[in-house]
Formats: sequence, C-alpha cells, structure tokens
Amino acid sequence: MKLNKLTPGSNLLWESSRMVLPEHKEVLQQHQKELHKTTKPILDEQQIELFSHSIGEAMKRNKDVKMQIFNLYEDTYIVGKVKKISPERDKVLIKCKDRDEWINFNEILDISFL
Amino acid sequence: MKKVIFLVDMQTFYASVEKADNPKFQGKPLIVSGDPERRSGIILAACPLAKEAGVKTAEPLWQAKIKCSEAIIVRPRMQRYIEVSYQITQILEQFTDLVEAFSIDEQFLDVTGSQRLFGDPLEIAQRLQIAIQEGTGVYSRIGIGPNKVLAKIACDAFAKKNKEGIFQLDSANMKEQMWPLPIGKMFGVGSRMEHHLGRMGIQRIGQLAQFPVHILKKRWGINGEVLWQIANGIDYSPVTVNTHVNQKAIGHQTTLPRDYGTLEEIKVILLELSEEVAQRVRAKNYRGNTVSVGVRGADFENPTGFHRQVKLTTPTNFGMDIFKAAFKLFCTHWDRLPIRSAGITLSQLQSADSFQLSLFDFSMRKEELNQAMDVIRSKYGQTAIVRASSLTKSGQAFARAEKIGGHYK
Repeated sequence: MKLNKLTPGSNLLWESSRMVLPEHKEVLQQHQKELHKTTKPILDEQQIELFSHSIGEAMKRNKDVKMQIFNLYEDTYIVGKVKKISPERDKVLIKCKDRDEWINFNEILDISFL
Repeated sequence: MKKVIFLVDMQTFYASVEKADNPKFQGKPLIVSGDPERRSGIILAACPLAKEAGVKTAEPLWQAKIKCSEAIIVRPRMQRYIEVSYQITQILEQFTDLVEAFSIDEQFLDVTGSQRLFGDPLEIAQRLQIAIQEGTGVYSRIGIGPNKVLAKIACDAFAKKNKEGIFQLDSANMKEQMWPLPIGKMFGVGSRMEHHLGRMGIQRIGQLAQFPVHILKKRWGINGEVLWQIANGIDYSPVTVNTHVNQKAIGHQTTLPRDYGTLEEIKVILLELSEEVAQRVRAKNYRGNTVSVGVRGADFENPTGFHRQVKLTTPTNFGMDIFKAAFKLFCTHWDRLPIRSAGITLSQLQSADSFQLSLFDFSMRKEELNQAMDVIRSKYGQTAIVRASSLTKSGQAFARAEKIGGHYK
C-alpha cells in the first residue's frame, strides 16, 4: 500500500507542511553525517599478521579478494586482485575492474577471499 | 509509556538574532525587511517592541515605517539565521538525541527518555528556555504534548501568548482548552479549509472533533480523516532525525522582480531555474524522472497560474533536458497572462550511479560539459559561468546567486 498521512510511523503529515530552506537542509544533513562518524579500530597484532598472510596468498594464487577499507562515514569495500605489494611504503596495489588503487596497510579492516 | 513531545519556537527569530548580535539595538524597535526595491520588500520579522507599535509580519516596509518611524531597519542575513538555528539544534541535542527541525525557527523534540535525567516536562522546558537564551540570546516558547500535533497547537495557541512561554496540552485539558479555539487556529486548517468547514457549520475545533468522521472522509478522503484526528489530538508521527536525509524532489522557485508578460522573458527564467535544479541534482548524485513547472499569475485579486508535471522517457540531470520538458509544459498551459513567480521541480529521484542508458540520447560530451561547469562554479562562484540569456534584462541568475530563500545571505 502507498504510504499516506495516516500510515502509522510515517512523518508525512509534517514533511508535507514544513518549510526548510535547501541551505538549512544541507547543514542538517551534514550534521547527521558527522554524528555517525566512526573511529578507526585498533587492530590486534596477530590480526595484522593474518592480513599480510592473506594478501601474500591472494597475490600468489591470483585470487579475487574483498577488502574492507576504513572510512569515517560508511562501510567501504574494494574488490579486486592483489597486483603489487610495497612493504617499504606500507601499501598494496589492488587491481579493480576499471582502475588500480593503492591501499594503505593500516586502513585495511578486513580481508576475505572470493 | 506516554510520550513527551516538545515544539520549541523562537520568538521573532530573525529580529532576535539581529538584536543578540548587535547589543546597541537592545531596547529599540527593530524590523528585518527584504529589499524594498524588489517584491521581497516586506517585513520578515519585527521584534516585540515593533509589534507593539502595530508592525505586522509580511506587510510592506513603507506601511511599517508609518506605524513605527523610529524602528531600526536591517537587511536579512539568511546564512546567519541558518547558523543560529543549527546552534539551537545542538543545544537541544544536549537534552535528547531526537531533534527534528520543522522550519528555521521551530524544532520538535522527543524528551520521553530524558525525564530521569532532567526532570518532569515542565522542568525540562524551563531548562531548555534558559539554555537557548544563554547560548544564543533568543527567547523561545515551548509547547508540550503527548504528540507533535498537540505540542504544535500548545505552542501556537497558548505558549506564544502566556507569560511563561510554556504550555502543556494533553488528553486531560484538551477538551477544555483546545476545543473552544476557532477552527482556523488548528494545525492543517488554512483559510480555504476554514471557509469550507464554516459552511458545514464547523467553527470550533471541538465541533470538528465531534463531527461524524465518515462524512469528512467522504468529502476529503485521507485529508478529512487527518483533520478529524488532529481535532481529537491524535497523531502517531514520530520525531525523526532522518527526516531530512532522504530527498524526494529538488526544486527551485523564484518571485520575479517585476511581472513577466512575454514568452521570451519567461523562457529566460525557466532556463535559469532548470539549470539550478540540474546543478543541485548533480551535486547530490541523482537523476530525476519527472519535471514539474508551476507559475503564479501577477494579479493578486484573481489568482491564476498552474502546476503541471510530465514524466520523461529517461531520468536526467541535465539542465537542457529539464528546460525542454518544462518549456513545453509551460507553453501548453500558459494563459498568456503576466506571471509573478515561477518554479521548477525534478522529482522521482534515483541514484545517478546506475541508470538505464538511453539508446538515442546518451552523450558523453553533455556529461563532461556539465561536469566542467560544476567544477568552474564550485571553484569560482555560481555566476562564474552563465548562459548568455542570463545577461538579458530578464535574467535573474546574478540576483539569485546573492540570496537564500529569496533574501540576502
């Protein structure tokens, strides 16, 4: 059924009559975004060990991996093959569908094989 | 558990902000007025002192000057008012995480879960009032109710008029306090609805509350039932913080500095509005499927105008696409009378990341051109690049770039 003003839990009655300037709305949206900011978790040393093992394995076997990358506002993932590892720069190059991307080791939160 | 909802309303908000920002205005009547050179030259806010002298919101500036010649007149600063409104939102968030802005000077709060920390509803309201006054210098009035409707009516009809600036409406005092009010005071009843209800013999909120709901439903459908519920103090709407996140439509509307009577002139403003809408839609990474255009006639006495919409074959975020659809609609429905305002909206928004490519109309060049314009504008300002037609005397792009909501930033 289509949502209407009588649907319990809907805010339509108020949304249809309010007056909020677009510029004001912008500020409120930004505020909500900031409220849901996450902080970077501190990973266990053994967890990091495991990640570097997985990266090496993925490169050796040329497997697709899915990595969760740290992002302040939302869960971000990258899918692709490990193309290059650069220990001196603490980075790994992921070959995605349409581009290559350097990922910092310390921004990886999770790795899984596909 | 019974909910406790507040509606916090800032007294003569724009005027209060100006007074708080400029201590030398303290104790003097102050008026915030739009540009008298243009149509927006009306009173946007008058402080209580100016109101005492008879100044009313929305009357023309010259009229207000006759009533209160010693009043200080200031230009609106919309950006500043948005800032202060947001500051108030943050003050309110110290009392509950459920804060919903209803307009620039009204915000809803759900303090149901805050009572253990901050006391009973009246106590919380008093604390809030003080916190807002101390933080921003603005005096606020607070309506308290078990839902938004009663909080809103408690504020508008009672808290704004009493000494404390706080009033509580609930099932216990609703019949005695709210029902005798004239029907026009009820949220959701405008002057037209007031007239219709009056002809049915309904003059007070209580009469509407006791009116057989099936007759109202038959006449106005869902809206009839909504009004009946409001009269009975029923409202299940939540106070929601996410209400501003999802956008269903993006539109722009402008009141023209003078009446536009020729197609040539109107064309210019429609194109400018289309471009603005498109730019905003792109900035949000959307495409939209439905274009609507609305205009209002110049004659106040005989309101004319229309609001029409059309569905596009493919979703778009290009100004020209929007303009073409809007212009065609306009030509079909225009009665050839001069217009005083126009608006364009793009709705049925969807993410721009994935969409069905049109086989016939897809152009990478158009895409890149828009991208380039957006970059130029974000770097050098809104008017760094405009269409040539905006340079004609009907163009409003430069005037609009200096404003928020039709008034100076």
